[in-house]
Amino acid sequence: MLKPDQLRLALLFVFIFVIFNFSLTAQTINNETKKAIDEYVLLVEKYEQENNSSQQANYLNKIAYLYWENGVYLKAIENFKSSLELNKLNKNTNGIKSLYYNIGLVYSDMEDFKNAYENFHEGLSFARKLNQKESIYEGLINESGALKKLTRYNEAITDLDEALKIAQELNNLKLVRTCYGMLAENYESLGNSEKTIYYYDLFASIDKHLKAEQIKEIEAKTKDEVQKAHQSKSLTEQELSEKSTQLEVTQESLKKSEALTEQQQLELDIKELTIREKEAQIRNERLIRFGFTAIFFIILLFSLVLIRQIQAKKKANIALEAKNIQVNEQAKEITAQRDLANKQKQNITDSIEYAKRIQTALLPPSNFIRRSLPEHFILFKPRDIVSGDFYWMMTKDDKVIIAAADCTGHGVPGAFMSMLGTAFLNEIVNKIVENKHVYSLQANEILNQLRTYIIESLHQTGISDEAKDGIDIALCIIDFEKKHLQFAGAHNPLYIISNNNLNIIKGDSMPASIHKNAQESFTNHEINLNDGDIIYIFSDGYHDQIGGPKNRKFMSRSFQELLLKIYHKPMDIQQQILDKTIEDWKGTNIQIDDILVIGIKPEFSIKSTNTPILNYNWSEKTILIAEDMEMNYLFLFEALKNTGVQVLRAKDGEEALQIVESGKKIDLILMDINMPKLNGFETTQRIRLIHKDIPIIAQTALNIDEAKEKAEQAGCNDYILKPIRLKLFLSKLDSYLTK
Amino acid sequence: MESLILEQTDRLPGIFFDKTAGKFEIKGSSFPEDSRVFYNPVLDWLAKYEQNPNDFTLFIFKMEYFNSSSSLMILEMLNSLERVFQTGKKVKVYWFYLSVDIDMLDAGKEYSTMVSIPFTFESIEEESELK
Repeated sequence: MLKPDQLRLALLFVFIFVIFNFSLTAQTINNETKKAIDEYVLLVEKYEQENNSSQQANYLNKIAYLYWENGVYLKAIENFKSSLELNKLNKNTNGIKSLYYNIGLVYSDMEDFKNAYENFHEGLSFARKLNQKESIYEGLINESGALKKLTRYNEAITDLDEALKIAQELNNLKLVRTCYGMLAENYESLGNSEKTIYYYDLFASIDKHLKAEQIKEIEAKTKDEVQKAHQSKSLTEQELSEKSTQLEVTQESLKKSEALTEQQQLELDIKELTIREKEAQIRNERLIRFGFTAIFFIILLFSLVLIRQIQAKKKANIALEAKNIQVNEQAKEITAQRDLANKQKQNITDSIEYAKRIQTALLPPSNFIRRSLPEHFILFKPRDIVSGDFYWMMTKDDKVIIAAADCTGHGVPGAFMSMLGTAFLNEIVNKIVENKHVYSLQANEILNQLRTYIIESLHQTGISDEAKDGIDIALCIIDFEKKHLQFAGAHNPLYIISNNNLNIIKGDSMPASIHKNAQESFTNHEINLNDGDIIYIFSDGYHDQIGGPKNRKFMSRSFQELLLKIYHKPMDIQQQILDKTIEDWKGTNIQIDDILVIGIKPEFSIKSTNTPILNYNWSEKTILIAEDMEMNYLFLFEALKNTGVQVLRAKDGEEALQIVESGKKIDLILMDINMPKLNGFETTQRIRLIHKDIPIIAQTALNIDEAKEKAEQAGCNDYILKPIRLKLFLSKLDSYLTK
Repeated sequence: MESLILEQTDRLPGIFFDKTAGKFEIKGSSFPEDSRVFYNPVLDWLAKYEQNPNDFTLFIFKMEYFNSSSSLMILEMLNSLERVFQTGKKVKVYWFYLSVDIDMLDAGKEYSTMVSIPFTFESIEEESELK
């Protein structure tokens, strides 16, 4: 039991609560509305007493609308529901339907979609009873809206399909547009992108059409109004002219009455006239005299004007001439400027050509690469004079570090970046080797440092709008001793063909520059290599080239298929095929980017023997070197210096033949192919007629199948490639000398 | 807001941005001489659109090829859309690619990891849809 004090306190709380609640509702409704509601409540009570239920329902609705408009939803629903009961008693189906819809809409505003749906559904059943198409449409749209909110998309779509049919029957584009829009939204929620886009496009096209119609309507209306204005204007004009004719009529009658008095005056006038005639005669004579003087003056004036004009024309002609001279001068100036522009263009082209020389000089020279990688090719096709693609190589002991890089941009901007890239890579690798050791070289570490160098040197901070230029790169470290390969890639991958399989090692999805993930390290991929494996690194220029019958990209898949078809061919042949294929594909299209493809077939068998040079001892042997070029001879002589072998030299084919014919003991002949008098092939053929057994090794500058075949046909035992790699060269000689 | 329509050429993509029609599309190939010159008006338009975007932005990419400098510009376009997305508006990217062009699919996937906007990838069979 509550004590009286407590009871009083509790009552006070209840009172305050009620007041508070009341004031809350009162806050949202202004006094005017409140007055209206109070009046309507009185009317409801009045009609209730009079048993006039239709009017009672009418005023209940009005109260509900006012509450609804002011956001007092529960009160609105309460009043609609009371009205609904009355309508049900009266069996007013139309009213019942509308009330259910209204209640549903209020619930929608309250975001109570479950109740909203139930009321829409109920209302819809009454609309169907009425067989009113517009009402059914309205119900379906309302219901589907609630269903969508309840995530019952499929049911919503069923409703919308039906609504769409009705809208189409009604031939009302606005209603159709609504259906399309809502269908697109529902399919979107279901994740059905095909239908989403389908309905969205339909929605957009009708929307566009309707808006165009609206504009037309407005235009038509304004035209109408302008016409009306014109009409009313012409009407007033007509009235005006009518009035003026009336005025004329009255004026005429006035004149007629005046005419009578005129006749009386006429007699008087005649008298006056005779006097006036005489005066006129005198005046005429004066006039004629005056006329002559006037004509004289006019002629004088005209001639003066004429003279002035002629003078002016003369002046103008002079001015014109001056202008002509000016124009000519301007034309001369333009030609001079054009010449200057042409000259400047030539200067620019010249300086770019010069830049190309510098860029080419920075690229590793082919004989330098061949010394470490005898079996390789580099397909390098810049789009412009200078290139944004570049390749880079460095050797450190038994390791070869090689990279194919693609800088953002091509032409001069790309070339600037490529200069930076080359310089940075040199510095990075040299520093790592100096500070630590060759063994600590890591492919990913090189890329990490390259990225840091680029970000720091270009002052990249990650703020948008600044230059985000960078380098996409594939970098390999081939360890010939361990038959091992490290790879790290910025965007660009590495392909290895091994046992007729193409393995793709993807690079990381970031460039060597500022990037969201620039804090993360690049991945270091480590792969063991087998004899016969072929490695390819490249930029995206090759597979992105546009061309072919459908004018589309070559694509990496076609590139992979092509490599699988040709990888077993000699490297230079592969290069030729790749070049021809992309040229054919390109056809008449422009080259869209720089192209760079590098293929490498590492040779381990020779490298891995790794025999120290000083170990050869051929002190009892004699080698004949047939070589016309002094430099090449000296190189071979130096190479053989520490083996103790005796060296004879022939400066051309004939001399070589003479030495062999003289019967000297010769254990091996190194035969140059391009020599004066007798070339290497001919000399070999002649020697073979005397000595079948002397090993003859041909030296050729190019690894071309034809040269190799010819050498064999001529009777050479073997061939070596120029420029000569010392270890390979000595081990090959050893195999013949110590047989 | 005025729409931005740029005619497609062999080396420049077609741009169709219409706020009232709710259509945002870029398609074709992109390798302009200077990508900043071509893309600056596009990015400016999007920056204005950011001020007052639609409730739902459906952005369509139908690219056949873009070079590396264009790829940076595409990222900036996506950054712009992401700012719209972050205000709570609905934004979605439809990334179309030729079914044989896995490179283009990969490029789209990479973008989808760089921004928070939802991506849908759709393959198409016919080249003609890109032209």
